[in-house]
Parts: sequence; structure tokens; C-alpha cells
Amino acid sequence: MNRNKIDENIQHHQEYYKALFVNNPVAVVTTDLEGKIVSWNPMAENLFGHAAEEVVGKNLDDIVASDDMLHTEAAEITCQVIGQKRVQVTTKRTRKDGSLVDVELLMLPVIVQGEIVGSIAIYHDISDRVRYEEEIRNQKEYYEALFGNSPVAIVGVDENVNILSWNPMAEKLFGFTKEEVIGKNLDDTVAKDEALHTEAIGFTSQALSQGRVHRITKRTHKDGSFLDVEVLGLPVVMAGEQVGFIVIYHNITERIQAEKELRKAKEEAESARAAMSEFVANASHELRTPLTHVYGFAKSCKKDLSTHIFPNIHSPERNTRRAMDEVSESMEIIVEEAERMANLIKDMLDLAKIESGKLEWNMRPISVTELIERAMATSANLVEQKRLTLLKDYPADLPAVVGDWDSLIRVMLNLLSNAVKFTEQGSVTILANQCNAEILVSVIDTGIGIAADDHERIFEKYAQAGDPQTGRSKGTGLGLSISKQIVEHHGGRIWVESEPGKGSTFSFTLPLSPA
Amino acid sequence: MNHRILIVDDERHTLLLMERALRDLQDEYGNLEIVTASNGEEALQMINSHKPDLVYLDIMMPHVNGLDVCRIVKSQREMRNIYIVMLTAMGQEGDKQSAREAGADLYLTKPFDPDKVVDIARQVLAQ
Repeated sequence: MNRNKIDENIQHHQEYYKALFVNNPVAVVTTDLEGKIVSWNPMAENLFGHAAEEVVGKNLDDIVASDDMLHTEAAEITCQVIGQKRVQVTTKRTRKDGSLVDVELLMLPVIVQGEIVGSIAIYHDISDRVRYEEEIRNQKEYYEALFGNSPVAIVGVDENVNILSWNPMAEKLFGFTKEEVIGKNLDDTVAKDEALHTEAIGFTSQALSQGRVHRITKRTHKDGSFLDVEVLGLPVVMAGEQVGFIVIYHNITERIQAEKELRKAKEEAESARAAMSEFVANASHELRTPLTHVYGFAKSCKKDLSTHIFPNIHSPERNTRRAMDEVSESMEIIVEEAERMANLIKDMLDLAKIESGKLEWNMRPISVTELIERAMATSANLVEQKRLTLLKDYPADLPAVVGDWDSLIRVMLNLLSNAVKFTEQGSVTILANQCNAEILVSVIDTGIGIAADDHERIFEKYAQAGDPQTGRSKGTGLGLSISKQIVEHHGGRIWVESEPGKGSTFSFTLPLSPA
Repeated sequence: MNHRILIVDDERHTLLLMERALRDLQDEYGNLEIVTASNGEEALQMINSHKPDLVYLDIMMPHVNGLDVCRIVKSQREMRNIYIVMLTAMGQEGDKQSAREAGADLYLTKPFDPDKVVDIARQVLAQ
């Protein structure tokens, strides 16, 4: 071979290996026997941040393992390699800026013609891989936590329904430890009853054919007792293949127990309510009889006194005269209070009946016009006595509503009597109009008005505003409360608009009779 | 002409109350006799023996109650004209219905005004 050809060959080989070195996608560094850097490829520059000129001739370990702990390890490795050993480790090295980088290091002795001339160190940047591994580890831990801490039992089974995984809740629910059941057939384990077992097998085929099964059923505990459970079974598909099922059991014994107790509580509430109504009905009868007597005998007494006794007391002494007047007044009061008691009993009973749903409602089509006319006629005397004007305004063709006549008339009379009671002069006006699907009725008075604070309170039980004349109310305090119950039972609303000194407007709505 | 009023109630005080109230009428009607019964059986006996023009009849009585008495009286031709006023503590529509169905002529809810009792008697006896 001629000399030129040989030189060419050598050059070609040199260039070839240089190309390998330069273009290598991993960092490749070579050192001499003393561990000093001989060559440093572009990837090493990239990885470690040092330019080749900066590091050639310097000690490799000083450059890339500047951290004390790492340096010890690196020196140890270098030593081994120079001792003709091959070392492959996953470790960290330092960059020029002092930061650490995860690398896989492969370091070998370079042997030329049987003699070691140095070493070659290949650094593979595995930052990404480390990150992925950590990510996977985190995710694994996360899912294991979900699995382990799950408040529902989660069971993984293979395509033959043999148990692959069994979470702590499953252990708790069914009484079997993980070790006792792994590998065993799920249905044989938790559906030990014949009927349940058949059903369980059916679930498997259903999960396959329909993609899921979700039922409330029973399963068996290790000790043989039955558990109420909600079962959710799904096939697990990985890479397009069905590899098994995941089955979730939710222990609903408590829920079912709670439902039972709720039902029982409802029944108890119902019978309590019924007992209350019965008590109210009995109390009604019982109270009214003695009240009849108190009222009746007070009247009888009053009559005897004024007709037969007092007229026969001639020229009474001052004290006697006063006693006679007092007795007369006492009898008046007793009669009045008896009447008040009677009204109170009646209203209380009515309210109790309405609230407990025991009032008999006689619902039929009613003309609001007729309701107003009748109420006005009944109240005419009352209005006249106080010298007030009674006015009305409504269209002639108001559509009908569906309602119970007796109770609606009661509402009208209640509002009218209140209007008269609290108005000293002026007028009481009744308006009625159709408003969308309702009839709106308003009773407007020019009386003393009601403070804003009381607008809601007056509809409550026993709330009273005093009678302006006597300072004490003759009402029962239940009138508006009953009116509210009645209006609301009909599907309407009732409210007041008023300002002290500016009169009041009480309004209520009634839904129209369906056409 | 003899007039008779029968008051039927298991409460002694109610009987007394009504007797007293109706006593005024005795001044207006010279031959007015007021008799009482305190239970259903006694009421039927008194109605048979005394043939009253007007009966005040309490509904709630043990054994034979007022509705029973009313039904029995109104079902017999010669007694159908006896004017029957039912007295009761309940005021529900259903009770009024029962009274009507039993054949009562009038219905009074307790507590009632004794004057009203007298007014009714006056009207009935005037016929």
C-alpha cells in the first residue's frame, strides 16, 4: 500500500470517529490516566455548561462532581475504571452553575493495544426519566391512597371474576382479609346464598353486555350475615382488551335503616297529629259545655238582679248602691268574657283544624262579586254605627274562583270588621280585579294604619293591636291568622300595605277557576 | 191549650239553665209545662207519655244519643210534627249534615244564648 493511501485511510478513520464523538447525542468525555480531561464533546458542553477549552486538562471529577459527597463517589468510580473496571451508575453530577443534574454514567477504561491509556465517560441526561418516574410514583401512591382510603369497597377481578385486588374497605365490609381472597372467585366469596349467587353471576354477563351493572341488592359477610349493598360493576378495558372488572360495593345498611326510621318517624308524627286533632275535638266539646253554663247563668243572674232584686231595693245606702252597681258591672263583664272565651275556643279549634288538615273544605265555583256583596250586607250595621262610608269597585264580569264559601266569607268579614274597627272616620272600600290568572281583592280603610314592623306580625297567632276605643281588644288575635291559612289553602297570598296615620290596604289573591 | 216543652241533656246544669230561661214563657203562655230528661231512653219515654210540642235535644249522650232519638221520633207518623232543636258542642259541617239527615228541625251550637232558646220556643209555640 502506498503511503498516501495509508495517510488517507488514517485521516478518514480519524474524521469518522471525530464525527461520532462530536455528533453524539450523549455527553462523551475522555480522560488520561490521571483523570484529566482530554476531550469534551459538544453534548458535554451542553449538559454541564462548560466549554471544551475551559475544561480540557482539568480534573474531570473536580469539574463535574464539585459537590463534596459526589466528588468522593466520582473519585471512587474513576479509581475503579483506571483499575480496568467498567462502572455503570445512576447518579448526579454538577453543572457549571452549581445545579445538580440526574445522569446515568457509563465509564470504561480505554485500552489501546493491551494497555490502558485513559477512560471514557458517557453521561446520559436522565432528568426527564427521573421526573417521569417520580410522576408515576406519585400517581401510583395517589391511586393507592384512593384505593386504600376509599369509603366504598373496591374489588378488582380478572375476566374470570377471580379477585385481583381487595381494598381495605372491602376487608371491613365483607370480613375477609386481602390474603384470604386474592385469587378466589368473587361471587363464591361474597354471594354465598344460592339466590344471590345466581344473581351475581347474572351481573357479570350484564356488565359485559351492557357495559355496566348498578343495583341495590344483598351480599354475604364472612360470618354468613346479609349486608344491604349498592353494587356497581364495570368492565376494565386496557388497550382495547377487556382484562377484568372493577366492582364497587357501597354499604347501604345505614341508609336503609335510616329510611326505615324516617318512615317510622313520619308515621309517629302522623299519629301524633291525629291524636292532637282528636284531643282538640274532644277539648272543644268539653270546654263548650261549661262555657254554656257560665254564659247562661251569668245572663240569668243579671236578669234576676235587674228585674227582680235591684228594683226592690229602695233608697239604698251609698255602699249598697255602689255594690249594686258593681254587681251589675261584674255580671256584664262575666257575660262579655264568656263571649270572648266562646270566640277564642271557636277560632282556636278552627285554626287547629285547618292546620292539621282536618277542616272539611267544600270547594266549588264561587263568584267573588257575590262574596263581596254578602260580606258588605252583613257588615252594613257595623259600618253605619261608626258612621263610615262603605264603597266598592269591581268590574261586572269578574271570572269565578274555586273555593269554600264559608271560609272565604269568613276572610271577607274578618278584613271588613278589622277595617271598621280601626277606622274612626272616613271610608272602607272594597276593590276586586283580575290580575293574570288570579283575582285580587283589596279592603282599603282610612284608619290609623299599621307600622311596617307589624306588617308580618299581625298575621301570626294571637298578635293583637289594641282596640283604639277600649285599649283592649275584643278580638281573639286569631282572625288574620285564620284568614291567612284559608287564603293560602286556596293557593293565594294575603298581605297588607299600610303606614301609621295613612290607613291600611289588606289584599289577598285567589287563583281563577280552571276554565 | 196545653203546651209542653221537653229538654233533654245529660248535664244537670244545662237542664237548669234552659228551664230557667223558658220560665219567662210560662208567664206568657199560661198552660206551658216544661219537663226534662237526662238520657235518650228517658227522652223517648217522656215523648211517648207527654207528647211535647218542642224538644230541645242534646246530641252527645251515652247509649242512645240525640240523633237516635230524633230519627226514631221523626220516623213515626204521629210524632213527626214535634219540633226538634238539636244542641251540640261541635259545629262542623258534617255534624250539621247528620242532624239534618236525622230529621232535626233546627240546630244550635253551644255555647248558645239562652235568649235565643226562648225566641225559638216563642216562634214554635206561636204556630
